[in-house]
Amino acid sequence: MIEEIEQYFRDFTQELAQVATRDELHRVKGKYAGRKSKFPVFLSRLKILPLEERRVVGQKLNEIKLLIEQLLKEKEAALLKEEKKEVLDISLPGKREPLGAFHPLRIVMDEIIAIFRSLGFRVEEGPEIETDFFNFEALNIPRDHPARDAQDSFYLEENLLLRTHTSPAQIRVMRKLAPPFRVIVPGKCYRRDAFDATHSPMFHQVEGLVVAPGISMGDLKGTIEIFVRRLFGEERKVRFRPSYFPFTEPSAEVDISCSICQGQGCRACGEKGWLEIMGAGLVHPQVFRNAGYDPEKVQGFAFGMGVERITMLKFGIPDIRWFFENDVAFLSSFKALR
Amino acid sequence: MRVSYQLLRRFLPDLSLPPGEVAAIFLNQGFVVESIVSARDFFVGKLYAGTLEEAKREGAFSRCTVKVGPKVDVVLVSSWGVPEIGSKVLVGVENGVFLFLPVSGEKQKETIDFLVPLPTFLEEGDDVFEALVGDDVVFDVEVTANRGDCLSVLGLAREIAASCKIPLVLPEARYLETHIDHGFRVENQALHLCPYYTGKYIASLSIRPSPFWIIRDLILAGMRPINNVVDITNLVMLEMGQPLHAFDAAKIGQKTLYVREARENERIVTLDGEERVLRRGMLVIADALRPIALAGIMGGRDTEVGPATQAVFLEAALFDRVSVRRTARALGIRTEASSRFERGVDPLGVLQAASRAVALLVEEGCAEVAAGWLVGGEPPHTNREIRVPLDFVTGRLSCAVSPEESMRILEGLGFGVTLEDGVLLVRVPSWRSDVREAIDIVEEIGRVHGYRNIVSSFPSFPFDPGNVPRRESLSRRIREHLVHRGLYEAVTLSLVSEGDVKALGIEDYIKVLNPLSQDHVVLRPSLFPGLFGVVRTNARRGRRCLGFFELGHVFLRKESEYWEEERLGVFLWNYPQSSLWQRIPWDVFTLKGILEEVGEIVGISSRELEWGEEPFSFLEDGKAFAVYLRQTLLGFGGKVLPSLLREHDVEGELYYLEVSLDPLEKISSVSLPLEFSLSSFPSVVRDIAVVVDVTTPWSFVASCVEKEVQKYAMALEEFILFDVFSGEPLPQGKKGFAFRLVFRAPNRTLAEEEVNAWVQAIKEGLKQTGRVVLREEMILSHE
Ligand SMILES: [Zn+2]
Repeated sequence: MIEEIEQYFRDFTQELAQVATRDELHRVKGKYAGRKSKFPVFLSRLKILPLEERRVVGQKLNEIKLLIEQLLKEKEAALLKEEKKEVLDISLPGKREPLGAFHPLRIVMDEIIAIFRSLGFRVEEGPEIETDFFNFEALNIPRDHPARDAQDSFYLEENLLLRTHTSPAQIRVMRKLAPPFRVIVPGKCYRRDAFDATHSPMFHQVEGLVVAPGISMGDLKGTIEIFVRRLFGEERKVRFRPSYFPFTEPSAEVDISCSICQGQGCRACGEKGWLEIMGAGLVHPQVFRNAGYDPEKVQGFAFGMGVERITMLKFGIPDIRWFFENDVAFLSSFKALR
Repeated sequence: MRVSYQLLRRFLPDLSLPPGEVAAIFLNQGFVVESIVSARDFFVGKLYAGTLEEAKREGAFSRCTVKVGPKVDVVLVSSWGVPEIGSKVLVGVENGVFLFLPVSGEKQKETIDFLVPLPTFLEEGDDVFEALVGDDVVFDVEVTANRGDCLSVLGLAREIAASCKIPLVLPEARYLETHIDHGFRVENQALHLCPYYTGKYIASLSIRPSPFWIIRDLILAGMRPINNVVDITNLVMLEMGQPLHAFDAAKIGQKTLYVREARENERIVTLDGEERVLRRGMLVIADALRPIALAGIMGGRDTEVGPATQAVFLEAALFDRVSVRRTARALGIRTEASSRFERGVDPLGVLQAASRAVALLVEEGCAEVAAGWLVGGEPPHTNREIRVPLDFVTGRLSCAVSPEESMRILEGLGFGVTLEDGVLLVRVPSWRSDVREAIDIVEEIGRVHGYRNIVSSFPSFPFDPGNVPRRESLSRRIREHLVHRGLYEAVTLSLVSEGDVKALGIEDYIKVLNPLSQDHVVLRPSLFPGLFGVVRTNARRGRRCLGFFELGHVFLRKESEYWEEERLGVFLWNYPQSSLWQRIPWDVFTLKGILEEVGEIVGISSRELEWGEEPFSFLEDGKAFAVYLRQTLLGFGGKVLPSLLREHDVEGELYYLEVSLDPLEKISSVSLPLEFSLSSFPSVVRDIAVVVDVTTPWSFVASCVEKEVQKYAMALEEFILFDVFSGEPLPQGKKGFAFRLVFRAPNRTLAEEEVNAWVQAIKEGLKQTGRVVLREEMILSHE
């Protein structure tokens, strides 16, 4: 019978553990503590036991009965406390202020600046209205040079134009500072190109210039490789190939591997596998002479990258015009850290 | 420059690389290959050998019957272009229709100039593509502005030869000359624009369609076949890069060719049928009476070689690149010839190319070639020699290219090289005018050796201390603040329309002389037009947001003086809201608040800013202001005219603020060390309410309070206005201010009596002005 009583208690504790409301508690109470509980039955069976056994079982029965009553009381108190507590519906919306967003071009520009700052570059500025001398002549692009074809300019006066690239800042920086130095110059540029998916009459560039004795193509390559890995990620490959700019010699075009096909060629990269991101090279001796430097004593490298193009590649933006429309639906994609 | 694989092989008989690898060499040596297109794509339909069955003369034309198997077609052909009856001619068949010049992009015409003759070994119905074009591909190679020499098969083949170490073979140029007493002469009166002019008289020509192999080469290069003489000059230009021109000798007046500058308003009808009005200084070829060609650009129609031509004067010359470029641009023409002269042709290659053309003419037309060349001028001397130390090459390139490899590369590219004591003595070939100094030689070696072999490093040199990014930090802090206030950062074009600027009431602005469109004519003197455009775009698309800001340059002018400065433009937008989610709408004081916040970021207390009401043509009267910092204009702002919004279908209300950054940056100078006051003694708080006339500004009350504070050196920690009230129970024409004063001393606990005395002093001070009544002392009508 002891065994039976203990089993009855185990059943009780199990059922009590399941209780979550007062209704359920009421049911369990009726089953184990009321007149309908098993205790009256146990008591009547107790009477027919031998005296010695009756004493032991009677004691056990009493113990269990008290324990059940106590546990029920405790549970009731716990439920009551729960009910008094305020119910928190944490699924309701938070109270907040709406967030704006940075422009993707400025996000990428800031990132480029931060990378070069960390590599020891200083940041300089140049004017957007430039003279023909700084924009072209000093950069070894004389009047009537075929290289001017690619840079159709907006003129304000005979010799005054909107800079077609940030490269005139190279000359300004060389006149302002004394080597050795590492500089980047971010800013707006203008070319007489009609708007289409990849052209805009206004765009942004970041110019880079490093001048010190003994600077070589390896220094250029190393610097650009670090930059590309930081901006685009470790897995991107960088390719240098020869090109032509009147103000660098040797000149190079820098490509990065397509993020989709990793250099194999796919539709996204026009089957080329590589995407052009900047022009670069060693500073042309004539540019040094034009800036009043002796090309026998110092060397340097320069690069210029298009921020729109880099931003389009980084975020997969298909149309350059989106940058200047400033549609909130577009801008709000850049609320999150990208 | 388009070049086919087979054409490259004419110069490189040992070339065996697949086209993909040839393209890779071009790319690695600095020539982007835009496309590799199968030769098949240049032709239309299936190409067959057809038989010319019959040709019936009809005036200048012949009605020709051409047969391919069971199919027959009849076509009107200019009589000169009809071969012998029974010969094989080219027929393209597409959708059952015969095409006699089956070339992509060629329009179908009623009459055609000629039937394309085919070699005699072909049988009717033979597949011409398979027999004569074959498995060829065409590379579209982008040639940079410095490499005029590579606007030729020869130049591109030389690049491949240097890379693959295979021989470069020039095409045959041999012919026999006869003595002809033609009487032609050349007079070069413009040696400064044409250092070298030469030509040859060639007689007994018969003008016919070119043989198929020439037509094939021209079509694959994207040129139209005309007739054998013109086609040969064009083919040689493609091969050698030297533009040539053939004049119909019979049409040259008085048998004299003058190379001279044009006279003002002289006229010429060029080959394309356009009449060109010339300016003084443009270079022409003329006969005794008139210009007969635009030198180096395009020939004249009067002396064009046509079916009736029997003798030609073949011109090969060296025209000044700047002169050709200027004239071509001024007249709006760009031709295969002009683009080559602009970038420079090989001065020592002139006669070589001309000889190749003469040889082809002889081979093709049984021509008689007059002995000798008619010459005006001489080719310039071009034997530049450059000393290049080997360690200069490896140092600049950062790669260990061997002396042997360097020499082999340069020789492959046509340079003469000797090595002396570690120094390369390099003779620059006549076609490489772009190579001027040692660094150019470094590039040549690096290019062919491969940029992939450059060993990366990071520049290490004496420490550059860098500069203080003050402006950068300042603008970043401001931008961050505005984004967190719910605004979107915009970037707009600096070029705006003239109407937009005039609407702002700005008179002095900078205009672009050569705008692309009327929307982008003026350099913005304010950020307003661009940002307003952003609001309009978003309103039109049904977008909603709290507003926009932009940081960028504006461009200002005073008469002939131009300058640019950086500004911040802010638009706040009260767009129509749903009733579910109401926020406190923006107003003029939000603008003021934003400017004060920006001031706080910069370190300017709002007390330093002076505000004044000021009218602007695009802002609502009474809701516009200007703000000054130490007597200089810092910015302006206000509520945008509702009529302007209606005009552009923008719903809601707009508030605009524009601030100059330069004065902010100047003020925000670093002052160290900072003074900290972190007193832990308790503070005492007192509120005061006052009533004034509605015309009395808060600043009157505030300055009065501050005066008393200074007078008694009160330990005032905070002074804030927390309520402005009017209406009942205040009488008409009155308003009230309630403000809080928080006192705290740095070094002691303030005594109650001390604070009371201060508050009393402030109250007395206010009362003494005669314009301020204490709320507690005011007797209101119903009290
Ligand atoms: Zn790809």
